[in-house]
Amino acid sequence: MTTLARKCVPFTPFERELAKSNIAIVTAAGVHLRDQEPFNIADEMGDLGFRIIPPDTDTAQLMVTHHHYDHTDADADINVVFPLDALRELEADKVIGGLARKHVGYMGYTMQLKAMYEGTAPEIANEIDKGSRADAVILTGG
Amino acid sequence: MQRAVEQRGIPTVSISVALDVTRHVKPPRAVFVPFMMGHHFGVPFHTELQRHIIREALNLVVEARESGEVRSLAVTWAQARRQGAANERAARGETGAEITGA
Repeated sequence: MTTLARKCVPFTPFERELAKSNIAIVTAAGVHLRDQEPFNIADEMGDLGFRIIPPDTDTAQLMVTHHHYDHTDADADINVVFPLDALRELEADKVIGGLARKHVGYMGYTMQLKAMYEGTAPEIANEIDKGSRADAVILTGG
Repeated sequence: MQRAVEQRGIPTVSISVALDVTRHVKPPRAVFVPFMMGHHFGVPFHTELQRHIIREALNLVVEARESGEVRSLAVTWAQARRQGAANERAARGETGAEITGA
């Protein structure tokens, strides 16, 4: 039965060289650019939206809007939840090929799980699939 | 979310701070970090640890041969905190001041 459950989980083998691969970050930590619309933390149902973050973003221009975790440390250094600077260092060291053209921030808190699962998740996957040139994706959740 | 991306044919790995949730969700690949919520890549001003966690995650992407592998990071929260605080002091020049004063 364990085998059956495992078969339900999609798995794509990685068949590239890491040093030639573009990496994307998708975070549920409520990260967005200061000039993008903040996530709606007033709505008890949560916010199903997401924000696209370009790879050349100055991390000082990023902020967190999320009310279900303490983001004091992320406010001090956004890299603790969204390590864009660290990723750029790995690119400079030729550990990875580069950064994907799109990274994504969303607020991982919602009471609308079905809408998140059937709407937001495939929409974010579409964004990554089309035009991000990501070869692998690092996600953060719970 | 992770499954949705993986289904498009793009390999994924998640960084998790909650092992029970990860076991329930069964992502394709995950690295468990024993840190607090909001600290998936460690602590402020510790870029070495941030890079290390990314590398651990990407190593799992490269090495995983089947779905569902979860690896644990061999760094404790106390170690991360201590190193981060030391880096922060060094960045402020406090360590240098102590040496000069000695």
